[in-house]
Amino acid sequence: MKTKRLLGILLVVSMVFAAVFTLVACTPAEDGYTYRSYSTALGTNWNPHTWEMNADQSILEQISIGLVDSVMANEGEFKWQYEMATDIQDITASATDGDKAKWDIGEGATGRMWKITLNPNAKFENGKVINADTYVESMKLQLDPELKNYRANSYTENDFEIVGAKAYYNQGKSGYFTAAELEDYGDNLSSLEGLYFDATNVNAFGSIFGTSDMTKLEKYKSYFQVGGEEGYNVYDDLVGYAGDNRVAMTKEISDKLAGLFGSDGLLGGYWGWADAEIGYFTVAFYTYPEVSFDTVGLYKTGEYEIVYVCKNDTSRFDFLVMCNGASWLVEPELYKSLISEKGGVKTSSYGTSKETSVAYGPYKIDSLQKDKQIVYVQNENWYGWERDDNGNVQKDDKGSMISWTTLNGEKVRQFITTKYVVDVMTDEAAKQAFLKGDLDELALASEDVPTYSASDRLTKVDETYTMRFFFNTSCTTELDKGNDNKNSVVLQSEDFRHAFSLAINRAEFCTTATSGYKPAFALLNTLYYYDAENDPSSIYRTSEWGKKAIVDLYGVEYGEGKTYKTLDEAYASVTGYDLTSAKKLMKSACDALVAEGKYKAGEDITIQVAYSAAAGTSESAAQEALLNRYLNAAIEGSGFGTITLKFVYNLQTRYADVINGKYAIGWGAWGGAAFYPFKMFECYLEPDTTDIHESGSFDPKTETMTIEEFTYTDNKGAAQTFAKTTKTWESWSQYLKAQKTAGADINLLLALLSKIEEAYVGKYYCIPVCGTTVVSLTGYKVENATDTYNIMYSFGGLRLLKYNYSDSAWTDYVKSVGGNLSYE
Amino acid sequence: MADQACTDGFRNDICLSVHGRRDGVHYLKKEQIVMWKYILKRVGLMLLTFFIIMFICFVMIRLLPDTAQAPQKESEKQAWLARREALGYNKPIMVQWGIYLKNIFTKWDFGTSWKIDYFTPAWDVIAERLLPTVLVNVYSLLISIPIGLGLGILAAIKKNKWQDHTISTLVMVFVSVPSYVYAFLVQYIFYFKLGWFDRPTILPLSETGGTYFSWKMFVSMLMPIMALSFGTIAGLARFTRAELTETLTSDYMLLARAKGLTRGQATVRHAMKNAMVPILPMLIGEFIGVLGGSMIIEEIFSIPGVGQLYMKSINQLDYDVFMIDSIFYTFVGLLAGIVVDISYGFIDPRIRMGEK
Repeated sequence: MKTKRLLGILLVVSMVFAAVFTLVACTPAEDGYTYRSYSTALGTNWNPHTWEMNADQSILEQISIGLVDSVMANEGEFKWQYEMATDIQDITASATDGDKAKWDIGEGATGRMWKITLNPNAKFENGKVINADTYVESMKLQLDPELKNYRANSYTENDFEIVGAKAYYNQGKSGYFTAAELEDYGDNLSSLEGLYFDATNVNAFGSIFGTSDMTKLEKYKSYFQVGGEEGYNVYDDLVGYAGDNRVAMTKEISDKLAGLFGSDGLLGGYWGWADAEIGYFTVAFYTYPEVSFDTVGLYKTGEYEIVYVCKNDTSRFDFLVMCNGASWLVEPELYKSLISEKGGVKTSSYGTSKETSVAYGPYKIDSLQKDKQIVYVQNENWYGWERDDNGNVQKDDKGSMISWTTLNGEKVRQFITTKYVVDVMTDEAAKQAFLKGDLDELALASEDVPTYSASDRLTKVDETYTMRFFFNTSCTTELDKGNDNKNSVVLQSEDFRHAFSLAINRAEFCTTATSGYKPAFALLNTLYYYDAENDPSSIYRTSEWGKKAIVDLYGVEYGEGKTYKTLDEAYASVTGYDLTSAKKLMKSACDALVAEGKYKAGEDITIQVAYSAAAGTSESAAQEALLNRYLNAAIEGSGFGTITLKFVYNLQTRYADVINGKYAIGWGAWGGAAFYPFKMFECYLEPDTTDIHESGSFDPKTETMTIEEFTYTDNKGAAQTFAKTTKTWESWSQYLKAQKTAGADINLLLALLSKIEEAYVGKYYCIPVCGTTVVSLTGYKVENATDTYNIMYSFGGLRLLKYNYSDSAWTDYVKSVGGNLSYE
Repeated sequence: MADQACTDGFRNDICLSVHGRRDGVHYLKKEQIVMWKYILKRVGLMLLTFFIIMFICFVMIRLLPDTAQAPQKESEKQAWLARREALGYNKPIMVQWGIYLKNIFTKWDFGTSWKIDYFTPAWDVIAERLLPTVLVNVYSLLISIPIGLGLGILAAIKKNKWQDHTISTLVMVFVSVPSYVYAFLVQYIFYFKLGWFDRPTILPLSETGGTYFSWKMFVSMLMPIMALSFGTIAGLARFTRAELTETLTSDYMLLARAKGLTRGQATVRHAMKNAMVPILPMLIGEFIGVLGGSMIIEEIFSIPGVGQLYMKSINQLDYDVFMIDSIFYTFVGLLAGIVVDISYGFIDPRIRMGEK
């Protein structure tokens, strides 16, 4: 009896709880304009000073707004719209003598001073005013030497380096630094006092010859002869030094280095090195002295005015690009309160949760559940909302705060979205949610692209990345010993690699085995602008020189009496696929390899491809199958046995693995820097710039390339001649960048870029296959400002997003169509 | 001490055996001593195993080259390497192990997450994700146990009849197919085709009043609960059927019927009780084991739990998160084992630990 009573009480209590929970959970939601998106992971650190991952950056960008923003003005045109700033001016010309001296921006120097007038209405979401002090204090925290912030390098090096920032950031840091790093050490460097010959770099020097051990370079000893037959050979000295860490620099060593690596030196002269390159072997022990923040070129000149002293020559366009998006701005008080030390690392937990974030853009974080969901809502303290006389933000009937901008000359609403929700879910779940109306966007997988290819809700966004195969041809004979490869030595044949390229039916490959990628015939696609500041249509790829590179590379002739009359026709005809030529090249490759004794005719060939850091997918399996089909079609009758390419996945170090000879082929892409095509080849040709390079195939520091004499028309319409020149690949890349910095004629730059691209791709050290594209569907609920993608404003972004349905109307609509939407 | 006779008049040696007293003084019974010795031995072995596993985990994860994750840009790489150096990752592994243990024992500091939950104590990272994992798995068990037992009993009672054949066939199907397959099917059928759920995943806290203990949250958890339950129900049904079938055919059941008990009475009072001896420890083990969660199910239904945390910690080489997750899983696993073993003795007093 007692048990029954107890059970009865439990039942009633449960029902009451259930009813309460239901009531709480079912409170009717306000109507509004909610945009629902998804991601497979959320960012965890959107501190502007320390963020690392793209997912981190996406949160930071949502809660911030730039000093300026590039906004759609008309169809195909953009405008710079001031946001956190009201004006940005180059004041270098009006700098006082004192400023010039202090910031080293006088005659001959390259620096520039930018005056930034701040928006006096800008506030953080907590209502605190943002003024010049906030920006200066934020930069001080950004460069704090104790915090060692990950993103400090944005201001201590490269194009937007602030004068004095590096010295401030590095203060107290001790160690051996190369001459290039120690500009402030100039006097001592010239006197050799306190200098060391860095023998640790001797072995690194050996890598130029394909080994990390100098002692193995005995056979190249003749290269180390300084001063001709009468001179002396420095090889033994170098090998002798290599055992020590650092040797005090002497006149003798210095002269030997100059004789070998100087601009007139035995090797340096041949490679086109500058004298400064000797500094690579010269280091000094140095401790950065303590300096005050007054020495940093970011300072306040008024309540709402700061000056940014850029060490390098930056165009206004480039500077505005830098100012577009989240800056170094933080809420200093909160930031400092969150600084602590854990595990020996001192940093701030600013920007790691809702509580530790302070927005200053049109949106702020409303809720964040880690690994699950982030919700942004309109930030009532953003300066851009319309307000009544009492300062209250004006809202429309759906509760959306009102802000205006101009588009196509008309006044239109901006930032209508009341709530922006990002849910974490798998791609499979996202697809279902999208088709049920629970998401407003969906990135398509390759297998879904054909299904939705005719959809008017389909958007394709080209990216700057060109997927390519890259090779290690220098040690392929060794590769077969250590893994499943067989006869990978065939990759040493340029004809084989050329045939490999021509055998790939890129159009079919992209259509059937990628999520909407586009065929690529060279390394730079149509997203690289050579003069975006002055000409929004200045696309390198579609310029005459850009087209010429591809037409010449694939041997398409044009002109009178040819199949194609014009360059445009010839360019349009390029497919990159020529099975007949591929077969011929395969035959000649096989004959040559057999004659050299490197390959036995008819033997099967198996080569592993270091494919990706992730696991294999149906897409990658399809690519693997296609490539094997292509290659085996090309080798018919060539004498080669069956070729099998095997994709290897989950490789975290595949670039290094290929360079180091663990794999003969890799698959990857370079991209970014859409406005800097003249810099792009540093990725391929300058091994010191990045860990990822092509040195497994060739040595850009020593292998030379000759550009034959050519003529071009300069921007004044006059014909100019560029004389035949030979340089190492690395030097060509550096030369191109230097010419750009020196303000060389744009047509010369385009011609050089074209020649370098053509020559490099023509060596088949890598084979471009496809340019990446993001293919997605946009839900019926919303409408982008434009259907045509523009790199400066995308499709108009969240700023100009329009709604066909409010939240409640959308729910009704989805119900009215039975809960399932069709986008086919 | 006064000599006190046994209240029941037994001799001292018998009194010690029966009452645990000798000369009026309480002593542990012999079997109790054996039991406690056994428990202590098991706990000791558990701790030893625990430390060995921890050490192996620590060494193995740190041997994985995280330097592959270093940024390619030289200056960023330098900052990244500086942090790595400061965190002591360049020290010898045994030194790192020593520091790790020292921090735990002296400061209860299990380290910090640098990737999954930037600059957050590893302890907080796992604590924050424990509840959804436990809830989904507990709900799953609460549903699975009665259904699994019921189906097993039904199959045993209706042995070799159509009910038994149907249940046994379904059991074979559900035992054979892994739970993530059900997960996809459940998601597709109940969310996408039938539209019974608001989302293909469990709901975020922002839509359930900020709590996991709401009706809406419970409803949204039904899909992963179902996916987790099918296998458990099938396993329990199979086990129960097998045990009960054996007891139902025992001689004492014949005796029970012969002395006049109905079939139902005999089944419930005798067969069920005996059949439960191996089943109950299994249930206890399951209850403890649920804390472990299900990694793939969490991924499919976007449950922010410890299961997917474990996978992420390995993928991202978030050392301290991996270690605390490993500690958690290892501890739960070892505890489940020891509790199950010990529970036999309590469930069936006839089962005693003995020494040779």
